[in-house]
Amino acid sequence: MNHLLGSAKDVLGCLRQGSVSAVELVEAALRQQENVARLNAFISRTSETALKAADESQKRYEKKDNTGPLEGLPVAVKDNFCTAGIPTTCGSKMLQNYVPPYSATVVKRLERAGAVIIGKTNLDEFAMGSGTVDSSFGPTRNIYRSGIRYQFQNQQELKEDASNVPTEGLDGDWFIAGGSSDTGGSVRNPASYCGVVGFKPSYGVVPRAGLISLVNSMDVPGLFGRYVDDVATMLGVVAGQDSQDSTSVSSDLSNLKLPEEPCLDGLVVGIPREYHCPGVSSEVVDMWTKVADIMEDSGAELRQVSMPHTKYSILCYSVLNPCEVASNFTRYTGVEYGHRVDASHSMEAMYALTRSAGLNDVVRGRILAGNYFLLRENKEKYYKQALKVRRLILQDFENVWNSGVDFLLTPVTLSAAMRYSEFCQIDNRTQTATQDICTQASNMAGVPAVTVPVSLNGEGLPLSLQLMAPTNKDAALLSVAKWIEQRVNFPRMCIS
Amino acid sequence: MLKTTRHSSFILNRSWSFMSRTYEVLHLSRKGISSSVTRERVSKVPQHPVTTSIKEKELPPKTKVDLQLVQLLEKLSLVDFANKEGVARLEAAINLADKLSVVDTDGVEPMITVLEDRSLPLADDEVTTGDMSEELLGCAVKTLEDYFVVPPGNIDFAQDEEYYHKLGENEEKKAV
Repeated sequence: MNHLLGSAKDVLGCLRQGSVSAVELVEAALRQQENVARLNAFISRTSETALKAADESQKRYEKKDNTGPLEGLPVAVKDNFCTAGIPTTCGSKMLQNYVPPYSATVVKRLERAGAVIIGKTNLDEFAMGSGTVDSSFGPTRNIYRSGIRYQFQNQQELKEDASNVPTEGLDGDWFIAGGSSDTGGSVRNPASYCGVVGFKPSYGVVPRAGLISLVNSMDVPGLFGRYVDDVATMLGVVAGQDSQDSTSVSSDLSNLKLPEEPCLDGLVVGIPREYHCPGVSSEVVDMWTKVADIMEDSGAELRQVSMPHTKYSILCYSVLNPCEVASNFTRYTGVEYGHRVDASHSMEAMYALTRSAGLNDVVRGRILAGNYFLLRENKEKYYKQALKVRRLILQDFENVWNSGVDFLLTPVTLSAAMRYSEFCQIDNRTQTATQDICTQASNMAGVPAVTVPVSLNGEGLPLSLQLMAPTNKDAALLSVAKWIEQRVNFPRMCIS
Repeated sequence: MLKTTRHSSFILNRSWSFMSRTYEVLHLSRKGISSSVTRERVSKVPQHPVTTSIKEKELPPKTKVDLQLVQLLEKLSLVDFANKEGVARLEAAINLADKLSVVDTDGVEPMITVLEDRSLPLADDEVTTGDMSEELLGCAVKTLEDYFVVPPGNIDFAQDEEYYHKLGENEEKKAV
């Protein structure tokens, strides 16, 4: 039995019973990691430390002593989370040599719960992008159409042997579960393209200490999993106030357990009309319609609502992101850590040469744009205006919640995954503007959002839907996501 | 009336033609409701894109990035970009941001953080971590004893003479 195909719940059950040992499981995960190396999903693999941790988990299971809620579970973490002793590069030359002396709070909590980190995953440089095509370590391929053989659970055997159809990459892990980050959609977009659950918690619920900053006011550690329940279990481990992050908030999510059979009775689900934006493919609209209809037939009240400032969210992000980046990235000088280009005559020269060598075009472009928007003559027109529009976007959400709507159901991405060649023809800014159009607003407003894989399209590629809820209603949101998951029976992939 | 069992799962597959519900689900054509087939229900999901585009004429004139601006931004950012692509990228970013100017924000307060209504916790003025100088110095490429090493400051970084030449060339070409 291939334990890596199950849910975390099943796997943890098997570990507890002893039908599989932690070491066996982690060895299987490491073999799998090797099998799919061509996807280039990992920047660092941590086999040695993983096996050591697995060994300790196994001893704890044998002694039945102090086993954590994720004991022995293989997980992967995006390479912008600091991991003590393990290189943390953010996909950039600037941090290629950086080995943090400390671990991010999320990482510490996962490890304390017994999770075994098997590697650090690839990302667009400093998380600027949604396709993992702009990493200094090369692009990551989507497992669908990667040339790797797979079939689908719950369906007739289907061996996909198509080669050379690389599609957009995955920003995080696809094993059993993974930790990632979401500032504009970086968890939800890849999750949608790769047919897994991607969750962005409410801002502040999961602490950012140790997550290398992109946009402080929007960054959120996010979670991937094959099942909503697995994401909920991980959330229960990583959520909670942290004294090292003053923007973290307390919540009641410790040891979160979702209802076995969530119910939609009495719930009001809103469909924001503006999320049917130009470019959404007909197969996405069909899927959105069908799921909305199913929810309505099952006891939920569906209402079309309006969120008129939705289209400004990406524009707002195009200003606020570079402004915060311009400030955050002043830290990359080569003095205390990271890449350094020596220029002995002047500090300024050393900084300039280091930054030009270590940061790619996309990153440099955002720093420059940010400094432009923050010039005294431009601050009011761009930065302040964007902050005001941000409040209007938040108010759109508040008006919807105040009108009695409990959740919002929307598309995630405009279509299924694109071919790599097509995706790369578009520049990073346009990529972001089109890919993040349905996901960005929830980062602006700080509300929780989750994507659930629903079906495969005509080409066998996954399509997903997004649910959003009011701030701090993360548990309720995941319950509704679980309801959808139980109804749509998405054909999950099994790698042969 | 649905004949499905209480926890029916709906297998949504590629062709959409198999649904385990027993009432009619008829395909809505992309152009609207076709004359020969009517759908029994109107979905709450809008079947057509909701478009309200931002009109070009409402926007301020496009900003052109000149040499002076390039030099100022390079000084502030300490990254270089004085080439065609860099300038084009910046102009595109400004162009995109200009679209925000059409939004009426009269009387709206800027929102810096979604946690603005909260009192954030403050730590006690107590040292709880430290003694990590070896580990921290270990992260740097260049150190001397217990110090990070930095070349002298207050010396302007001047690009060499040829650096802006191409950019100036481009500007002259545009002016012609």
